[in-house]
Amino acid sequence: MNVRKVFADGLIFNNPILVQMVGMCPTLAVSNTAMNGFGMGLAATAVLIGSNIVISMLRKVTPDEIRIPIFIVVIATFVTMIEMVVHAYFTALYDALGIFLPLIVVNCIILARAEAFAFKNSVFKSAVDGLGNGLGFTLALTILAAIRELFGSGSIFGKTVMWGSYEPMSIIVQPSGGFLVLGLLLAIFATFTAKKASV
Amino acid sequence: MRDIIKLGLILLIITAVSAGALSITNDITKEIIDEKALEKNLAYMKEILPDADDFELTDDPGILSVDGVEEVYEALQGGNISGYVIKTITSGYGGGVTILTGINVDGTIVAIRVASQTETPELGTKIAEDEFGSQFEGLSAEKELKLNEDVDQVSGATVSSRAAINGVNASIELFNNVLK
Repeated sequence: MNVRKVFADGLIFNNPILVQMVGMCPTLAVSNTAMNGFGMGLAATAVLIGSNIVISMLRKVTPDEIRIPIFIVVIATFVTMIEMVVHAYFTALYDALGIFLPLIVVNCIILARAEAFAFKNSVFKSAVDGLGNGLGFTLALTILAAIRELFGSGSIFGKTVMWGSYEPMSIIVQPSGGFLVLGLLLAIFATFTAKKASV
Repeated sequence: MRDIIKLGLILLIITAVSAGALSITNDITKEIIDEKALEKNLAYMKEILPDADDFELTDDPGILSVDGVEEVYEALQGGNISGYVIKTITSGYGGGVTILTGINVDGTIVAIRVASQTETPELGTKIAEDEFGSQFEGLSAEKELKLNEDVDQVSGATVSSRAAINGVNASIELFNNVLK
């Protein structure tokens, strides 16, 4: 499969959140504000690219029997490094993401791409797959978070945009509201990609 | 047997490299992280005791006599000690909870701040909110505070609330036994 398809799949047609439906836990937890969603997406993308590259580099010397522990070690190492960097240089984001930053280790997207792609493909293609899936995750997460922030808090990226007397629907920023918005988003997205596929 | 040794060796090499990478990243970032934490703590201390013009870390070894106490800062006003900010770390639900307790020399608790915690979002994290923390303001540091008597816990977050009050009580104990 060519590189452009790998990227487009990760970004849209096999989008981690909207199609594969993996990584749901952090998706719902940090999509309360657009900034958090965006930040989380970028952190996860960084981990995904890094771990895909390293796991692909190691694929010829990784015995099948111990591949899972090796994946986990690689992923956990990248997450911890990213966590330290974010803690030091982006402290506000670190405080906002809280426990969900280290939880990227168990974000299914990363392990799924390692097992399904990086372990069986070249380093370059794995990097592109990581970038595509990571950006797909970031895009879906940011859109979801922007919608939730707009209707649930009346703002976008922290800037109030709704008219003064707007009563925010606070349930939207709660997990239950998150599920609702996600469901609607999934429905809209499925219609959109179905149309594209049939064209 | 040889297979197992080979597997073990591969794992050893990979984990060793990973440990090395982590150690390097830690070295690069640790100082910055510590600096930022100190800045944040100083900001909290100025919030707790706004009349103080300086805060000095005390090196009195007696502060270690109370479990949970990490550091004690003397709040100085015009060269005299006007109060103390005591930093404690107590066990919460998801790890250590760091509390800064400000106590005036006259024995009243001025305020508390939760400097860091990893409690459950929307439940335990509420101990860091004003609604919980403001209950401590003005209370006497004469004796230990009791949860749900002197101070109401965060409903549904008993362990986290207990961690917070334990931190404040450790500060109270230290104040009465060592600092007064």
